[in-house]
Amino acid sequence: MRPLSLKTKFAAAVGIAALAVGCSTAPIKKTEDAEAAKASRVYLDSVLPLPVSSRLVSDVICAVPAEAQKPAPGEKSGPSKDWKKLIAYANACAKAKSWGTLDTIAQALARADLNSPWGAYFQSLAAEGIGELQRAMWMADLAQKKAGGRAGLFAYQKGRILFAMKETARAMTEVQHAVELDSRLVDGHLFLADVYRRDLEPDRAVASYKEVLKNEGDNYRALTTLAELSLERGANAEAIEYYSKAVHAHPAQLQAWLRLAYIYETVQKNGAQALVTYRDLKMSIDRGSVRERPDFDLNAKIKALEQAIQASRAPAQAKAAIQGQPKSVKK
Amino acid sequence: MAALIATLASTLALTSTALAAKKTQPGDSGVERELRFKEGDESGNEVKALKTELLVIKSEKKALDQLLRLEKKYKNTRMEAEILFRLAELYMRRARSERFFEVHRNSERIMTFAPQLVKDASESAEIRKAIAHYQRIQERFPRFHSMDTVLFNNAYAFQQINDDKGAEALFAKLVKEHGSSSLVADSYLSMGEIRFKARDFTGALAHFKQIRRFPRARVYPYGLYKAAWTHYNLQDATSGMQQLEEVIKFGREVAQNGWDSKLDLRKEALNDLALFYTEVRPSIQAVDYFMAQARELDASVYSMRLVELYKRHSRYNDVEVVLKDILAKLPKGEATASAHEELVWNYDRTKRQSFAVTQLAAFDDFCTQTQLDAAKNLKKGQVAPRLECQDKIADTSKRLAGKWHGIWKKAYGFTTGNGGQDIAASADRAYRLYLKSVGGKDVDQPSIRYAFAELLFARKEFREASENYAALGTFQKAGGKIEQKISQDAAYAAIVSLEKAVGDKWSDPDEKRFGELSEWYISRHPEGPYSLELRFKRAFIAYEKERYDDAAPQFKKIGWAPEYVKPGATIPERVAKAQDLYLDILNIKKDYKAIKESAQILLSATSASTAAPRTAHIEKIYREAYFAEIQTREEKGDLAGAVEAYKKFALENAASELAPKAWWNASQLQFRMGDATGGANTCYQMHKIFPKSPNGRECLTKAANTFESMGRLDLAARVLLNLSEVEVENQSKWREVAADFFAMSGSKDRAITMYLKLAEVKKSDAMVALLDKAATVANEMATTGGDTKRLAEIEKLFTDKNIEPQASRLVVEQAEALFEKGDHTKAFNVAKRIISKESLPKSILARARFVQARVLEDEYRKQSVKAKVERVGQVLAIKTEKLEKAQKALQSAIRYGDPTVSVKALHRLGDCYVDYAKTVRSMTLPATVAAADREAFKNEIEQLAIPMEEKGIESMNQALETAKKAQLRDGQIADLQAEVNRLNLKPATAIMTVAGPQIYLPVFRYSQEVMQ
Repeated sequence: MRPLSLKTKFAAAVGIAALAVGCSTAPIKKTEDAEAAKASRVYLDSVLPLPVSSRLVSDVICAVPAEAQKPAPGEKSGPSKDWKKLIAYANACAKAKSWGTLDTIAQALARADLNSPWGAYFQSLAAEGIGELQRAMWMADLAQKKAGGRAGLFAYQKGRILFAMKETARAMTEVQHAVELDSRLVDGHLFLADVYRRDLEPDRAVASYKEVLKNEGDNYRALTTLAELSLERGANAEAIEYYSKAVHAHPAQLQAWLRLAYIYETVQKNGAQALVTYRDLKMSIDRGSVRERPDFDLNAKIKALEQAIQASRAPAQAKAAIQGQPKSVKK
Repeated sequence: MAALIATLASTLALTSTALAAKKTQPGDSGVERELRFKEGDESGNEVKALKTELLVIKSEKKALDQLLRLEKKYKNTRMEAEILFRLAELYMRRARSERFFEVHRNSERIMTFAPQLVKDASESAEIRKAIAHYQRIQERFPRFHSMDTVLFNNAYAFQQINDDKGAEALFAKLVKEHGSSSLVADSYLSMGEIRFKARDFTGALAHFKQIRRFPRARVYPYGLYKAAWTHYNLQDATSGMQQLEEVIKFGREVAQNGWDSKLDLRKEALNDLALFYTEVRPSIQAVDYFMAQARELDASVYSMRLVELYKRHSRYNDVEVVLKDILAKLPKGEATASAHEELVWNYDRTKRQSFAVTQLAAFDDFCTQTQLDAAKNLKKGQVAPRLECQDKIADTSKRLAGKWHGIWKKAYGFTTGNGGQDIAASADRAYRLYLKSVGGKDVDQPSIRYAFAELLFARKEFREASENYAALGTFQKAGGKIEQKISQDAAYAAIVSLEKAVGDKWSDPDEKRFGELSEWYISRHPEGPYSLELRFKRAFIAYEKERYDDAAPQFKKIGWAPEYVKPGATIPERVAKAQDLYLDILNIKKDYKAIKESAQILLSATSASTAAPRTAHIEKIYREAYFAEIQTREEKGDLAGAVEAYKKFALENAASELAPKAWWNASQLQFRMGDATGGANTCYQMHKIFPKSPNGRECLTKAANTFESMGRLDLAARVLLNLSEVEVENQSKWREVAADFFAMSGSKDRAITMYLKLAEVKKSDAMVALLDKAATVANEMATTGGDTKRLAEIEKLFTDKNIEPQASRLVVEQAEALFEKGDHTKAFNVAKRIISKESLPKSILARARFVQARVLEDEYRKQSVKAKVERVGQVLAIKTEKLEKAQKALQSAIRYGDPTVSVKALHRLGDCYVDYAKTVRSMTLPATVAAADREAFKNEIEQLAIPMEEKGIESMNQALETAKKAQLRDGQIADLQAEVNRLNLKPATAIMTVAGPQIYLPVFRYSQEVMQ
């Protein structure tokens, strides 16, 4: 077992105290502990941080496995035999929001693998789940310590807790630190981007959304929001590009089809490209790729655009075609 | 006549036979054999002597009866004188028998056999009868043919009854009247002796000188001899020496001529010459003188006589001179050995022990040479007889060695220095000479050898001492008798000496010798006081030479002997040591199990009352072995077993100083095994079981670390409380951390209580910090559980103690709460309580002022503008006044510079302005008022509303900018923007809601590995 804070006696005690209660006001420390990082590496390197909503998170049912009661192995023998299994069950319980069971598994993890940060992390999630935010924060900090201060996920968790505490500014700082440590935390980028966008800081919002795309190039929300932000500042071509990517990556998303078509048709006055988009949408619907239906008559719209295009070649005909524009295709 | 002669002949023959029976050696007669004395049979011999006397008396009586009858028969005849002479001789003879009984008058045995004879015995009576008969002859037969003999015998009889005067007269008569008698010289001798006896030396000398006239007389040399002595007594030793020299010379002639050897008085003369010599001549010439006088006789003997005389007069120098001369000039003399011996003693008398012992050695050499010389004459197979000189050497050396040893011992023997080494060395040599020369019959030999060994030991000649002590054992083994105590002491002393000789390192031969000696002691004295010691030592030597397999069973046999290993037994030191060393060997062999078992046997057998310190010692060993056994188990990798064993040990031996260490080891092993929970729990228990353990602090710290690391803050908190008791100097710190952990692990109320208690003893900032923590936890309780009691308690403390800004912050919060409840007046007044405290943080003051502003804003908003025409102006004025009040208050709040309050205040202010514009625009005059007036009124109102509306938009924009500048992330920026847009008549857009980021979970790259 590695020495922890109490080993350094008084100074450590002060540190614990600050973590325990004063964490809501104390500055976030970014100190790193190479030794702790080395000890916990085996627990961190083999996993990927994925959002709870991911279908990859767990395929087991939340329960306390028998392995949680097993005696722990010797320190020198490395990680316990069952730690991965315990994490799988913990993930399932987190996903199921079964906080009590999660806490039990988390304690088993903490007991069996003292160098592993996962016990503390899941304890943090369990505490957060039942509203024990101070405790959740302390556990997240403990997890971060065990990770040597280098794990983005635990900073991200602290950001989440701070946000729940309505400490949005501090939450942003922590999340920012989290994504700097681990840019795979796409939801961190999205969170920052959303706040910036809400608080009328479009440039920082764009930068954050783009960070999302760096890690997840087909992120639908990033693509569509970036498209809208581009549109707001008149960068129509850019908006078209983002929506195009969104449609390409998420062809089932009807709204993206419609906004792309709208920009072509209304903003750029490019009826031909709008027609192509509507036609592609129709094909997708016909193939079943898009299950939603627009609140207007798509066939009529296509027909109207075809007529308008013909009319543009013969202006009299074109006027009549324009009169059939649907109202619902607005932002 | 012929018959008479025949009768006398037979009577005399009878008498002669009777006399002869007393004088002659036993013959073949049965009576003689019966009367022969037996050596050593004192009482038997006495009886035999009595029987002999009785036989003689019987014969004498017969002879006397016969003679008395003859006297009567031949009375007044020529035969009467002859018969009287025979009777006188017979009475003289009987006097001797009477003397026998007189002498044995005190003998009970003689008295038993012949009481009357003893009672009646009288020698003098018989002599007087003889005298009477001699007198009758002298008187009645003056011409008796043997008158000179009668006179001589009569004189002799007078001498026997001590009548020297009468005797002297008779001797004189004989000399005078019978000058040609052969008894004249004898008579002179007798008269000289009577004078000599009467110390009339001159008279005596005159008589003795007369003898010189009769050189053929038997008494001639004796006369010379007596004359010498008379000279000596007349203080004329020189003349005396001359007389003696004459005696010697005469004696030499007698010898040379083959005369009667009785006349050769050389030996007596030479002997007495020594006395005279000392008077007149120097010692240096003595030996030469005596050699000259003695000639063919051995001068050493007479020289030694001289030595005796010098010695008697303590003339030791003269003694030494003569003795040295004897040894030099008479090396083969009869008395040479005595000279050697005497010289030894002379040196000793003069306190020259080294000379003495050197001389003793010379004596020994002399004796040895003598023996060698004697051996040359022995036939093959013949054993040389023991020489007298050997006995002398043995005796002398024995006595001197003992004496010198005693002196040395008394003077130096008990000191540690080297004093008296000369005398000690002399004693040493003397002992050696003794042991060399002593024969097998000296009963003192064992004790002398023992004494010699003692001396050697005292002189630190340990090895030789050992050999000599041991020699007694050999002596005893060969059948020699030794006193039990000496035997026992010697046997042990031989071993002790060997030990001393060996020192620290035991060679194999020495060890073997030790074994032999100790075996000798133990076999002969199995219950001896040193038997145990020796058995121990034998084992100990093997132990020291690291032959543990040899030593161990021996130690075990001693240390675990049933007579010692039983309740109430007193454990001798050696037994205890044997136990210790046996256990030590087991320890060296790391056989802790055996140590434990052996110690347990001792513990179960001994009682605390009799051997408490020993029991404690064994207990200690038992525990250490027990402990070590567990350590071995641990080293072999049985960690779980070791943990269990350590704990068992600790609980079973709680009083042992190893107990806390065992408990500590158990905890550390658990940690090492990865059973951190178990380890931490063990540490937690350690404080309760072994509160004074030196590892207590470390263990508790580790437990706290572990529980903390596991996120078990509830357990960590409890451990920290214990740690605060151990680490008193940091007590408050650990309690505070414990309170922190309690707060986070659900025990909020307990945490608050601890914070408050800790705050009681703290000052200023530290106290406030603790109260802040308590307030934070209490606030959580109030927020999540609705329990505001503890919060109120803490707030009261802030207030009572006037702790700022906490107290004022509470006032503000109270005002805000009151406002939210609608109790605006009270809210306003509460806020007013702190508004004048300029020292407070601006944020607090801003909030307080903002509460007041909200109250005033509310008053403004409540102020109705509905009124009758005549009161429109007044109502409007009131509304405007209210607005101004609210405006001032809000602006005042903004001026404090707190961004949050400023943004809110600007927002409220802008809202007020817009509201005012809207309100005044809504004012209309009734239809009864002229249309023109109504139009004019409307225009006036519009003039009033437009700038207010513009101010409203401006304030709202200011609020937005301030919010942006302050980067307020609570969503106000979006709200304000929406409001600004609304006021600017822009289309309304949905306000974006930011959701918290979703949970992320660790997912394995290769999920198929997970469930295997």
